[in-house]
Amino acid sequence: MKYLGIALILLTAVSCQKKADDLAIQETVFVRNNGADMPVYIRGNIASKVMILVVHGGPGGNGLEYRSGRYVEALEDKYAMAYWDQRGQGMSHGQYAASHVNIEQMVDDLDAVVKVMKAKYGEDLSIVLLGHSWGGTLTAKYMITERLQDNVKAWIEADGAHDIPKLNKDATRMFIAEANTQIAAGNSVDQWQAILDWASAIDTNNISVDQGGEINSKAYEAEGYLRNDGILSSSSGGITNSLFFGPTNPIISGISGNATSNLLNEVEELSMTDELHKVTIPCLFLWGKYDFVVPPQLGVDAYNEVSSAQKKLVIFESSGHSPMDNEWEKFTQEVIEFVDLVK
Amino acid sequence: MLNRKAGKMKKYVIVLGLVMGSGVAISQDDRQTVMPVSVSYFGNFATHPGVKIGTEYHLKHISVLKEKKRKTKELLKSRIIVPSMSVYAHPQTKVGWLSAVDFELRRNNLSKGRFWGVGAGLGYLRQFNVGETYVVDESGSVKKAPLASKGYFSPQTYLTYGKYFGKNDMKNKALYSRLNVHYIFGYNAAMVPDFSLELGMIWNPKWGIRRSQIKKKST
Repeated sequence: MKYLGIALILLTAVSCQKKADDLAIQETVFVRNNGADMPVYIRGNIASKVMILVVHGGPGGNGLEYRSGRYVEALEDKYAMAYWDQRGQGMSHGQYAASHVNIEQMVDDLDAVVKVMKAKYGEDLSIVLLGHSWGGTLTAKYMITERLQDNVKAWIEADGAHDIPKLNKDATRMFIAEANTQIAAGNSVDQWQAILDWASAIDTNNISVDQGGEINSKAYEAEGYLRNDGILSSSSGGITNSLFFGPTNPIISGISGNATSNLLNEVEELSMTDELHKVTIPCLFLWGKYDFVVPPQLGVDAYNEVSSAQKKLVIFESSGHSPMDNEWEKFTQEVIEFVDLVK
Repeated sequence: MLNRKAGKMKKYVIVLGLVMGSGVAISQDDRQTVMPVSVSYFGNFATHPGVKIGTEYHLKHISVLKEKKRKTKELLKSRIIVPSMSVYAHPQTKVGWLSAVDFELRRNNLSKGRFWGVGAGLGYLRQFNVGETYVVDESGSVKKAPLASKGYFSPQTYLTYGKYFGKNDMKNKALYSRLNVHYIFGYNAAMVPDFSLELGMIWNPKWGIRRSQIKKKST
């Protein structure tokens, strides 16, 4: 009985300690820029003086979508993680004209977020940008705009869509190649045959915006077949966001994000591969081998194009568009190794 | 048996009296009372908690007596102006302050002690940021913006259902629920809908502005 009492006291002390650590840095900072008030949710270890600023996907996503899964737990233990809701997405709000929803404005917003983080947490704060998917598009634009890259320590691009016309062509080729492989292996044959027929009919020299949308939805479909056939690793629990009690109102976030996405049609023609040579800061490119949404060839191109002395490309063999979910351990390890090297 | 017939007879006389007496002095209707007050839980997206206080100004009541089989059913149709104020909070993102004035059509089934209502109104939403807000000016310097908030025009529509504590008496307290759909205009260069759920109580205080008079008709 005595030992049980001691164990209970110890358990209580440990759980209280864990809770106190969790709350050590847990705050929301708003950045107001050109009509928009954008929340940045700060979590993790700010004492490290290293902040990974997560630039979410979409357009139409939100920052806290990325605070889920196991990879976040390990990263928050070591660094401060900043989850930013971009203009018109998540719980960002404001009154501005539709003409203020464009990629130049969003680069300006990102620059404002970086400046605010440094003003609040100290100029000696090392900020590493982590852009996933659409966040890769936005961070790539930030990197090639003037010398904004000098305000951050490094750039991590995870399955980032920095060249959408090229993405559409590469994805179409990838659908055909992978469909043939999977049909030959006897995996989900009917489904892959349908994808093969559909992709073979696309004229890669003339892909319309509507076809671009179709490529995007077929990409997630294809990923589903690979997951069902056990080729992709499945995600592994960890932190989950509360739908009803979390900071993000899913209705407002979803509808507002969709409206913002519709205003960003310009990105369909955005091609930045040829300008990536302007990037000189350390870069890490993380790609899923089976990413049909943003094919890994874009990662290879980015790795070859940037002028950075410190650069690395990692292709995750059992991952699709989100290697942080599919292979969270390896993803975390690569990020930590890179950040510790450049911080 | 004899007593039951006598009871029915008495009821018919009362109904007839009510029908014939629709032109009697309305001030004699003992249901006429003061503007009620309501307090409710106001859950934005149902679960983000808040409080709402409101009142009702009854523009018009029409009492309809319907005879069905051997029973008389009294429906009270009301047109009501409903001013209100709500405050709610989302953890770590915002506090919303919503001021609204609604117009409601309400159908009180007094015999069963319940009511249904449908309404629409105009509102103004002030959204305060939870957390420090910083602004970067043109020179690149960062400044804090205290009590940062933004305002939005936010009309709404709703459905409401309530249950009186007793029957045949609007002076009774009532519990009610209300489902609101808010339309937030100019929010991120778009119109964004949102919803909230209310669960509250409505009652008549001992003093206040009097409700409108009740007109009666029968079918």
